[in-house]
Amino acid sequence: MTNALGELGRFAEPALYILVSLSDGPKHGYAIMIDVETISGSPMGPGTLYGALARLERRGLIEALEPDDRRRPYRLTALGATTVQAQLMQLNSFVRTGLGRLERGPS
Amino acid sequence: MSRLLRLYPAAWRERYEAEFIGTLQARPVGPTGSVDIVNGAIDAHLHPELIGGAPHAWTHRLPGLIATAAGLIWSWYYLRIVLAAPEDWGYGVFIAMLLMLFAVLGDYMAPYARQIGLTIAVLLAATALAGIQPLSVIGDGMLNFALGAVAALLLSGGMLTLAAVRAGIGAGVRWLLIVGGLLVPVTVAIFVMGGFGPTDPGGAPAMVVAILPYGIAWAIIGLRMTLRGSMTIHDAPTTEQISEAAAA
Repeated sequence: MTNALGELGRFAEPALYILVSLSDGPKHGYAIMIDVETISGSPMGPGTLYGALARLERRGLIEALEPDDRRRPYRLTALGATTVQAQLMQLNSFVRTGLGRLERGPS
Repeated sequence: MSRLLRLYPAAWRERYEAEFIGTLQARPVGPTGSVDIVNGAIDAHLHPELIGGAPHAWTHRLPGLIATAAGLIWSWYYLRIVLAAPEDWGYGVFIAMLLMLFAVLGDYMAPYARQIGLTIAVLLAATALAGIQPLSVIGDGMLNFALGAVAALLLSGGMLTLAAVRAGIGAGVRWLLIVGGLLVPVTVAIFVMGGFGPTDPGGAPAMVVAILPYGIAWAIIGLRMTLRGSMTIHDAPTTEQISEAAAA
């Protein structure tokens, strides 16, 4: 976990899901909730969603766009894109290491 | 469901409420989602810096923790007396009252100086009159009892009001806490249940009815004070508080 997300405590995992969700373009809150449920397989509550959005916005990892009616889209900032990329590469390395060890079995 | 959003701080609602409601309308939540919203509200109170506010220093939370402790000690003290009927009643109530006093101290009270002064004057007068022995001949000591009760109610109600003010609780809810936490329970215990105390008929349950709500009211105010941070001696009173005090 990189420091940028690690310091978010219990919001670190929801924040990562949100960053991944915004990786293919801006989304508003409801669209993020639906997308995160698809990605993670479990729903994200609205309290958690907005707690994580506030933290990500505060850290400059995402930014809010002009609202459309009651829907305000969010998009990744350059810092957010770099952060999520670093985070995913770290996770990828971790997954490959773990799978490799499982394949080799106990020594 | 959107009523739960009232639990969030005003600044947070100004920033996120509209889109939050839009999200809830698109996807209503069940009980689990409601708990998540309440959790989010607590989180928002604990982290005002997320929406541009200053982070709460521990000094802002200390009075709230003290008030919560006072409420819990008060409740525990009287429950213990009723349930365990100890020979020695101990000092719990004095500790609780001392903590209550610490919880409300601060010059945030300045706008309320006139009301506080008046309350203290009536309190002292009632206490002094209640202690005058010749008055005990009136109504078999009922006048002494009534004066003592007035003094106790003024002290208890005044302390609770100051704590509620410090917690930033509005006038309507403040009255609700005083009426529900003090005036109604005490009235019910005295006039319906026949008084509270070891020598009164049904005194033990009446004591719970009369006194426990006061401890609970303190715990509620203390929790609110802890979550949103209490006014400290460094905080100037808000315009709203000054107008409210002037109007009163």
